[in-house]
Amino acid sequence: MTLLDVRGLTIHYDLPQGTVRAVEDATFTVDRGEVVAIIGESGSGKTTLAMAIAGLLRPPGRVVRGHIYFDGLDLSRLDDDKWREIRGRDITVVFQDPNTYLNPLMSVGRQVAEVFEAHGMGSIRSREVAERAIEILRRVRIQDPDKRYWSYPHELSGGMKQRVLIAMAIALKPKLLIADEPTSALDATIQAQILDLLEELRREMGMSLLLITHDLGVAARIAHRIIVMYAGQMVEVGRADEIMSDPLHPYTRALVRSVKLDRKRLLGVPSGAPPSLISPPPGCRFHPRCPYATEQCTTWRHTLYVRDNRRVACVLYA
Amino acid sequence: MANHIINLFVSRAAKYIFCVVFLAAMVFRFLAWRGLQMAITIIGVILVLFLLVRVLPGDPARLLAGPEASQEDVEELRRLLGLDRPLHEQFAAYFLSVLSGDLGTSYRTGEPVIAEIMRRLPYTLALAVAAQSLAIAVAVPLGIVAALRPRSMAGYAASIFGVLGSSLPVFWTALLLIWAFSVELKVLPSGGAGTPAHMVLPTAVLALFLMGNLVRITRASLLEVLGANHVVTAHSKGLPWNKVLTRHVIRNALVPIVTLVGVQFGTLLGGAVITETVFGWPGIGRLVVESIFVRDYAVLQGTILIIALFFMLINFLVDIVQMFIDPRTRNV
Repeated sequence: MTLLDVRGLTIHYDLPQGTVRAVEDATFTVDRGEVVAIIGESGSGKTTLAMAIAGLLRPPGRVVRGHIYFDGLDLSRLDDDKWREIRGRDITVVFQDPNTYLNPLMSVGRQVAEVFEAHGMGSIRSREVAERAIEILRRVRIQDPDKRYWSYPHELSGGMKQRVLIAMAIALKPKLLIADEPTSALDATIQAQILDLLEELRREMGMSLLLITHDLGVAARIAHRIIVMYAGQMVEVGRADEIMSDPLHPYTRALVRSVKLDRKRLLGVPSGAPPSLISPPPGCRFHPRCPYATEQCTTWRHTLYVRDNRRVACVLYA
Repeated sequence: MANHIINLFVSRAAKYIFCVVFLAAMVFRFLAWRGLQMAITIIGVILVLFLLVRVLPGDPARLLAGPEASQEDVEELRRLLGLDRPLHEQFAAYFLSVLSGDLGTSYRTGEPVIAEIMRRLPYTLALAVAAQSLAIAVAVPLGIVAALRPRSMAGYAASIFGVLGSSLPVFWTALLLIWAFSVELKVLPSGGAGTPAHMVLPTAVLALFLMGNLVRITRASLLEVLGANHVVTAHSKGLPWNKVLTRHVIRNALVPIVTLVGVQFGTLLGGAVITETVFGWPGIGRLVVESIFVRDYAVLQGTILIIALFFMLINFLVDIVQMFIDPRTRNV
């Protein structure tokens, strides 16, 4: 059953230097209980997409076209008050850097308790709300949660802080949890713990998880389906196991190969950065780096071709 | 069973007592450490002041005796004031008397220095409190609104205050206000002290000066916090905007504002020399200037010592306030 249905979503940033086409024509769904990973390099538009779905897109970013249907509701037509009800209750976010996404001047327990307060379950000063917050802290495996309730962010390790952010995000059993690079700021051992925790909580609560990451390894670990983005466009969508065993798009192929060989750099692709999104290259945006590029690619119009269970945006599969 | 409950109670009580003792020990350690720091600073201040005052050109005995006095009279006066003794002896005598709470007597009036300071202090305090309160009451809200709505009237007003407040010299705004309100409109006195009306112009002049920096710091600090990541988190919880603003923005933005207010108020307690002089306000600042003119060493040293003490006290209070706002400053 579909929980989230994104259709033709296009997001621009109007800057003095020009219009940044951060996300173009994003179309995908997330089912209830499903884990979908959006993967791409920094600047591929994946975070912008996530923020738009969470209703946290800030100017100069704006949705130009498209719709986000969530649980039967058209989010793109929601007013601020309705959005406020949904944020933190039905859609929540775990952000990438636990060091800066927590308020340094407020105890972590209270920051969790605020979620209950925001959704009309009593003041953060009330005993019941504090107890619920402590319960949630215990749920994300924080030791001595009643003591930690009064700790400040600077007194906790990075992994603990990330657990606090996760606690806020699961406090009200959301339908959709968006995790934006939830492990990028942590070291490898903690990364695995946090991923396992997210996966475990998802299974217990039956929520859907939209995982935003640049790390295909992280995506392959817990995702059911993977969406690969390049320069603001979706280039391949498919089941995680299929994408990992048989990547179709040349960009995905390079990604998969570099993960399998445990390399940081993309393999088989000329090095370089993703293109400027103010004036992207004509045709396929990947063609300047693509080993298979032909004349055709400079005039090709972005289309997702259906191939078995897969959608792929490359003229090779036209 | 009963035993078990008693045991539980005892262990609870023990925990509680342990916590209180621990907290008291922390506070005591903090106060002792700060007290030691302040004591060392004060000794330094006394020493530097003593030397600095004596480096000033001019002979207090000659100034006091007047140009017509004979050389013998001047020497006699010098001996009476103790100024003929070697420097280190003078310092030792001064230091000991300061420690016993005696700041000496004025060379000019023969009165105890402390009495003179006490007479002037209420005027300086009144002016400082009034000007600082007015500046905070206007500048902080203005800076907040300016940060939230840069293209509003408040935004433009904040820019104007920010530039004018700190760039117009105090003596000039003082003269301008005297011209407008005393000379032309004839509604306020141009100088002196005594009635509340006398306070209006000096307060306005000082407050305007303080507002310049205060508006700019408030706006800049707020803008910085508004862009901080933890504010996005607060929004993502579905927290109403007013709570995001008070809990996650304004409170965090307060840290640099409190620091600036501390510095400003400390400076004001040292007397607003120019403002007090222009308006003939009998405060500490004027006392310093007057005692410099007649080389009244005792008064000068005593007054500046008191000013330094006030400054330290304000800094201490600012640190305490910061500890309440920012838990990261609590581990000393």
